[in-house]
Amino acid sequence: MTLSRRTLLGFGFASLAHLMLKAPVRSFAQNSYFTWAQLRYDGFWNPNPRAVSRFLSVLFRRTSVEVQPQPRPVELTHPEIFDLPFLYVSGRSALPEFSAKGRDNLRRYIEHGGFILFDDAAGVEDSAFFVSAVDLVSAILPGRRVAPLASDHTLFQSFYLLQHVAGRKIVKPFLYGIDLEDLTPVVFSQNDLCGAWDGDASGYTYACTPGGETQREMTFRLGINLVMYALTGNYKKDQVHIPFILKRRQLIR
Amino acid sequence: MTSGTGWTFVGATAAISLALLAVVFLSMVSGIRSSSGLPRNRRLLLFGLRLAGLLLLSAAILRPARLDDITRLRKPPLIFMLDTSQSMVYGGTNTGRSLVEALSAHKGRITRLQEYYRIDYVGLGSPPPVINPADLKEAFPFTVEESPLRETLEHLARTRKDLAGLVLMSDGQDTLSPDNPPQALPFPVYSVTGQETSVRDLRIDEVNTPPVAFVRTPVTIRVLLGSSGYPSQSATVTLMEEGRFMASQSATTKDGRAEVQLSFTPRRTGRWAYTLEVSPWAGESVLENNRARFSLRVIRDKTRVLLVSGTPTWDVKFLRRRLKQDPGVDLITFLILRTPQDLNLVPQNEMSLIPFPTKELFSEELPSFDAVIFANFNYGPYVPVQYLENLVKFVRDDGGGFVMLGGDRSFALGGYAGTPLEQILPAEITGAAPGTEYQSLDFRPRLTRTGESHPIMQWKSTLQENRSYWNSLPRMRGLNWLLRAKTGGLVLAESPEQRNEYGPMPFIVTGEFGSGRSLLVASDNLWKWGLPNAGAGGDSAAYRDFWTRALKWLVHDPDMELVRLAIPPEPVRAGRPLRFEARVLDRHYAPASGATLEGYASGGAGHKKIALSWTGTNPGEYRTAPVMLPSPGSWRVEVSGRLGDTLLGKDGLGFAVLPETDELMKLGINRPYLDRLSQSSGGRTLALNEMDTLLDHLEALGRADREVVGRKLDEIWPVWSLLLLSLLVLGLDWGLRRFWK
Repeated sequence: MTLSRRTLLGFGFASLAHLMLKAPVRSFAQNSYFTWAQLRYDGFWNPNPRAVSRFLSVLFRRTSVEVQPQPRPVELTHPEIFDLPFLYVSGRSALPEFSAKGRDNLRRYIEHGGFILFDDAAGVEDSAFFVSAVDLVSAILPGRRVAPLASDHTLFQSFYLLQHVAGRKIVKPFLYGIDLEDLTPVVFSQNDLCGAWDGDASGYTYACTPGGETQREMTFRLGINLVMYALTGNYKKDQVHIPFILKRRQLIR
Repeated sequence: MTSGTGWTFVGATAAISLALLAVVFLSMVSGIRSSSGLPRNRRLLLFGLRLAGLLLLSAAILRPARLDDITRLRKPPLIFMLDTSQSMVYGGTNTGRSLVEALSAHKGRITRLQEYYRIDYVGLGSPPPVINPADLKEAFPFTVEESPLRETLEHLARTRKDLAGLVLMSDGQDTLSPDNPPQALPFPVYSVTGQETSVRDLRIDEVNTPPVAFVRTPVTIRVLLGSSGYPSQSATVTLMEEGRFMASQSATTKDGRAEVQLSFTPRRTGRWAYTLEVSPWAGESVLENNRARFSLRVIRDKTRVLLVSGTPTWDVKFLRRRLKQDPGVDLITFLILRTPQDLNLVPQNEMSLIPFPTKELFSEELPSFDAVIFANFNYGPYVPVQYLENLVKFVRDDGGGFVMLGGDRSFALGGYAGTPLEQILPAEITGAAPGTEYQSLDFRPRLTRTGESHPIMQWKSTLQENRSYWNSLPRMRGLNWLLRAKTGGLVLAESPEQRNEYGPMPFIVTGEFGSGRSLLVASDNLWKWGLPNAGAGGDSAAYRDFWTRALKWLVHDPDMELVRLAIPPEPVRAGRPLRFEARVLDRHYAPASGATLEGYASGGAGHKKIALSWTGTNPGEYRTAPVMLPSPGSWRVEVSGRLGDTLLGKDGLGFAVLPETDELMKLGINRPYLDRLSQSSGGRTLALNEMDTLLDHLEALGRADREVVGRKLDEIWPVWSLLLLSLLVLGLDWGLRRFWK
């Protein structure tokens, strides 16, 4: 699937117009808004510092999700983590050894409904970050298998109908995840999602390869789907949605 | 009178027989030896004489005799059982009269049977009432209101084990165990069918209902119709639920039978009484059997919940997760993932969004749900205001549950002030200063006194435990403005830190509207009782328990009711004393002593209302004084329980009251019943004109039925003559041996 230059320009202008039409936040209800929590740890925890706020702006404009415009750094041992059911963990090198309390928090967080997105910003296959993230989750959830997500996973239809994963690079053409009951509360990307979103008013920091701007757009869509999945779970697997989704998937093919 | 039965030897004992055998053997051997050397003919003669002499001697010693039994007629009891119930003569039926006439006509022969039998005449009952044979004449009264055939026969089987037989004169219409004759009776039953008269009747023969029905799920009732005396024609059956029309269906009878299936959808759980009525045909002999009554327990297979949210939030995520985990909940969710204000540049077919099915949800399918939850949902862009009226009807009239959860698109900010929906909200939502409709404030909610005892909040076994558990929960954040509870609304929890002119701001409020219930939670952060509480060292139990109990309360789950009526033992019959019983719990779910119960039973002909007088028996157990419901039909009992000034709860249940007897429900001769009864007992069914055959048969049986009362011994020959004869023969043997030697 490709996007024409005209469509992309359209996205740009429309986004600008929409920014003027839709105020990013309303002040009176910020506590119930979606907050993008990002794990702060000893190490290079925030390799794409401008990416998340840019993504959140897109999320806000394209969906009904009310968002806090800035990510919230949070430490694993801080009680506040349990008030933030979406946790983003990024890095380019191995995660540090977390304390027993931190690991226990992570386990309770996952078991009681939290969602974690591990985003490998290294851009290489089986990086130290990815391996350490998988080891960490496998250790706190023994017996749970880290496995690729099937193409019909709810995550790929939670808002957009996606057929491919995306990111700054396509290191792996799929996402990994760990299932708990009928949900996938932990998702791993090796394609540097935030790398595709990072930038400022002058443009994006990195080029997306090999798909260019189409790939970047798909990365935004994947990000939106990840947030929607964290917020709605298997909502799009409810029976009422299935005929619509099947029909549209046939149209895309 | 005697009859020969065999032979015997009077003098035979084992020792004598053995000794005699030895003597005979030795004597024969000695005789054969002593005759050796003589010519063959002489040897044979001597052998014959010796043998004959010894046999005669043996007979004299053993004394053979004929043995005869002395018997006499046994004269066992024989019962003539006459069904004296009304159905034998009702509506022009001639069965009863014809049988009485037959008994009268054969009076002489029956009297003669007394030579062989002890004859009793009885009616139906346990024990069966005795009938004076002198009364068996034309004016014999058939007035009994029931026909307990099986019960009577089983009573006789237990108490009259020597019965030679039973002549049954009945139409075979057992009112207590219809079409279920007793098996393996220890005496033969001879059924004599009376004269069959064609009865003009249309009736409900059988009603088949499921053991339970599920609310909002169609249920089918199968009705079998029977008719007699009419040609094939159409019959219409109507089903009513406690006075409300439910369904109607017609069918054409064929060979006097027809089947009708009526389907309807129960809208409320509980026990309900139903009446079936088949429209009468012209000239029917009896109309009472055109009606049938039954009661049906309507339960919930799953609680069907519709969750609608104006935006995906954590509150909705965790609520959805909780409801999905509950196997007793069938959840349909609609989340507004994109509003009309959101940017939309992607073709629709690249998105998974579906149109919001407003009409389907709020017009067509609404009755199929048990509860509807609006979670931070602003109806304006999606639901026409007239559909809110449907929601009001769903709660008020159909007994549905409604929940409104807070947020920046809910309550006043959702535009509900002044809408029809406002009338089913148990709190006033107006009066907030601009900008304070939803406040981003931290607060620690507090249980009110009402909340401490409300079933939704009974998470722990004791009040103290419950209170301290509640106080350990995380602080809430974000509170919608609620002015105060409306009349009848109950504030279960409040925020003492936020106040208005009426006091602390309500946080959780419940109310009852018509037959339904509603619940308000003035925040979109209830999920903090889940994940954040678990993170603080607790668990998600508070969040789970709140929603489990809230849903049960909303849909009137019987487990959540403090006052519960017991189902009266069935069948309930008009005119017979009946007691109702109820279980009453206090707010802490402990048996309530000293509660005051008020209530009434209503229904039947003219929808009569009877006040009930309740008294306590044991703690938490109450029952009424005996009450007699005067007429059959659909009845309902309602009760409300109070402890002091506090209303604990109400309960009601419907039940069918049957006529005092089913005697006139079926008329005519039930030949299959009589055939099965006779065959299984070793008897037979006979027509009225076969009475003589039956009496002949009974006479023959009676004549042959004798008992042995003694034995007679008859010796064939006198001992002395045998002895003399044997001496003569043996003497001749001895003389000849000496002469020929």
